[in-house]
Amino acid sequence: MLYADVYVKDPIEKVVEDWDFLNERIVANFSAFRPVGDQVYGLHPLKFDANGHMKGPLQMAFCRRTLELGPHGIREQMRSQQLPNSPAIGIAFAGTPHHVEGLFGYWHINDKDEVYVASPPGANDPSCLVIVMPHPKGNETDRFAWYCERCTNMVFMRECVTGRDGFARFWPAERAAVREYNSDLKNRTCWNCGHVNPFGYVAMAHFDRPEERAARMQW
Amino acid sequence: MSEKSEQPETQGTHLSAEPILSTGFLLGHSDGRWQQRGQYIIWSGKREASEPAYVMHEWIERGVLPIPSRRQPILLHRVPAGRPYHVARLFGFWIVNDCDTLWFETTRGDTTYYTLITGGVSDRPSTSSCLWVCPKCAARFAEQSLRAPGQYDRFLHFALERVRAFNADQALRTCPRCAAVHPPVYGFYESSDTPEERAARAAA
Repeated sequence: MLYADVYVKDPIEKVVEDWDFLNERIVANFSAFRPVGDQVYGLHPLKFDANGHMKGPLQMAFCRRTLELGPHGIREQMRSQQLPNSPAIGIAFAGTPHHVEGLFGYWHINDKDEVYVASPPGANDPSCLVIVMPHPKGNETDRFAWYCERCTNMVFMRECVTGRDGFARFWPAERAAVREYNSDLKNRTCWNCGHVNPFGYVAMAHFDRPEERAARMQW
Repeated sequence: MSEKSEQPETQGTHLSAEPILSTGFLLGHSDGRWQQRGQYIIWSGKREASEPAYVMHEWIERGVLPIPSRRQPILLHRVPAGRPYHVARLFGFWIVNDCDTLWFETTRGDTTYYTLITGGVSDRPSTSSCLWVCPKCAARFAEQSLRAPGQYDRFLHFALERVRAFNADQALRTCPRCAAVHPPVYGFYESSDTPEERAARAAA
């Protein structure tokens, strides 16, 4: 190697402790999204049980659909239509309402592009889902929205100004929005067509109440 | 920089008034060029086990830090804004961006997939620099910058011009600190290599 004479001699771990965000000692720090530098990272290694079946909520992210809402209604997001077992990259552009079935029970709308790098399970290869988005700034927001599953009109939305208040506010705001939405039947009832929509649920499944766990299996 | 690739796209590239909500592509099907996707700029490529790996390097005050390649089957490394980096066999110069850059590697069977992701913030990278590092004393030298917000292709062209000037003039390749002469170098896109640049890439 051209630079072998000037390589830093110390082990890399002693020079840059978190040189590999996916290292098993580091990755858990990113499971609930963590801002570092310009970006916010959500890193999710996939785990398997003794029978080789994927465990945990990420199973749903790989096996269930990622949906987006546009001018023609709800459709499957392109990144989830890619070939299985092939590493792929996807981007949900800023402002696009998106929802992953079984993973989070609302439509997330943010003011930044979101990049997904998926390295699906291989024969003997570890796999992960990497989510990267720029750190929100100023008045930029994250929104938690619900659209009528029958006519796609918006029925409820709450907003968190993560640019101003910091990304640490995201999870409390998410849980508060879901709980508020679920607290009143009126919130789930479409003002346009009268359809009663299912309950919402948060991304962290261990917070589920019984009705939220049931909704997680539904949409 | 490619706005349209030959890989199986998951969105149409025809003109339309409809908003583009999302996009995606398989890492193994890249055309090898940087692509602007929303506010991000992305490059991806792959190497088979029989080929020498791409190796990310960073310059820090203490010297050159190689990021171990293929030591782990999956890796995500962040290059902070302002820190010089170089990927051996991919491009023969050092880049400094004014925003973070991510280096992702994943191995599937005999194939290692590589991805560089930068930007994500409006008009970043805004200013990028091209420089070299002395292989004998690790001094940074011959640094030149280009301000071209949102136009990374202009920077790559600028860097290729610097590469060719560097190769053409031994004085430019001479380290101002220790007087060692840097060997010839190569640009980003292999398809643009001159015979000298191709040889430099092969020797890396």
